[in-house]
Amino acid sequence: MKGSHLVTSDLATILRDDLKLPADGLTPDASLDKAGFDSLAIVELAVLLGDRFGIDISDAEIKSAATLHELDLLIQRRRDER
Amino acid sequence: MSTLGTTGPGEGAAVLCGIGAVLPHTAVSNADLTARLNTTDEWIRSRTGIAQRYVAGADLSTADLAVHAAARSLDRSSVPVQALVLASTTPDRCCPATAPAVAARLGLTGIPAFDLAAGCAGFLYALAVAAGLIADATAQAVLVIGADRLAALPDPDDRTTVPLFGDGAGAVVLRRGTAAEGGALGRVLLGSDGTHADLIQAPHPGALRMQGAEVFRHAVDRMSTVSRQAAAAAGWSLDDVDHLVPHQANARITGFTARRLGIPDDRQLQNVEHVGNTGAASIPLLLAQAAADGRIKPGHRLLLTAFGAGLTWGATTLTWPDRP
Repeated sequence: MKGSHLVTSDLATILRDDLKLPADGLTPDASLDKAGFDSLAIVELAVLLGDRFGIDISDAEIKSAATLHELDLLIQRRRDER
Repeated sequence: MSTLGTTGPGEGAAVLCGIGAVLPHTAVSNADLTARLNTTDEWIRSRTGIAQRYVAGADLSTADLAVHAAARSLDRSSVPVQALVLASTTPDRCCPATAPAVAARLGLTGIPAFDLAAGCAGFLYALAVAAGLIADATAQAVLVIGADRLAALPDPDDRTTVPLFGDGAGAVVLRRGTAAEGGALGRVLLGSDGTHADLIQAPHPGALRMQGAEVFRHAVDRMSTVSRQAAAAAGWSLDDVDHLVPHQANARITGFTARRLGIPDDRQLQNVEHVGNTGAASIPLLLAQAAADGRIKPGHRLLLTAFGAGLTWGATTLTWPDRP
């Protein structure tokens, strides 16, 4: 199933426009590493998710996502819980 | 945790009337560092935005840097000063303070002169103190210096912190004036939170430890919040601000803070690429360079903000004068 999903536009926008990650690396099955995340990008994303969606996701939770798709699901789940 | 508002901008406002800055002669490029540290130019640039920094040799003390910057600011202001405040995290020795020696070398023996330590927010703390001395008429004009040799703080083998820091000094002269004139400083809003003292600490030079991710989080939160407060205190909206002048810690931190404030990149002053993090010198150095190269023009509304070890933070507003 991995790879058959698209990264949702909200996440794609943050990764591309805010974190300035290369757009061509933003595929659902890409690891965070492969997508261009560094240690600061993890914190930047956590802060942005709080700012934009009012959700609290720790750096460790973000790091534990194996792929962008998993990260996307984690964010959607947390937003649904609000 | 506390937030302290200092002098108001009414009668006895502090007005900037002179500025000067200095860097050591020796530029150290990322390539120079990669020769001895396990890192790359790309790694340093992508995480910090820094390409080079200036490092003082053993023959250039914090006092030396302070004297050079201060002399330039005094030349340009041509008003007598009655007090000197030196913000520094790297004084030349534990005791005595560096400021009296700096004052003496400037021919200012006799005036009150003292050091102030508030990490990379030190220059804003010093502005607040100077504005207070002016407001209560202790002094008609005050020399405010930020001088640091931060390159001496990291463990020389630590590839994550060595690239960040550089040495330098900047100084301004504040004189008594009115809030309506060019150069007027707004309220200086300050805060600290010692419960996070461990996030940036150096028990002695060569032993700096920094928790980068947490520092990022706190820096962005504190600087964006206090910047909004300082702008509001001046009656400005953030759209009124011509330039955000953030302490040059790291381009990722300053860029994120600016975006959070809705201030576009072209209204954010930067020089971290060329000088690294110069601590208390950072803001006056950036102001001096940006005024010299025309990025800052008379009448521009500037929003200054800083964050540093302590934790400490602050922000203030400044309308750029005609010919500082």
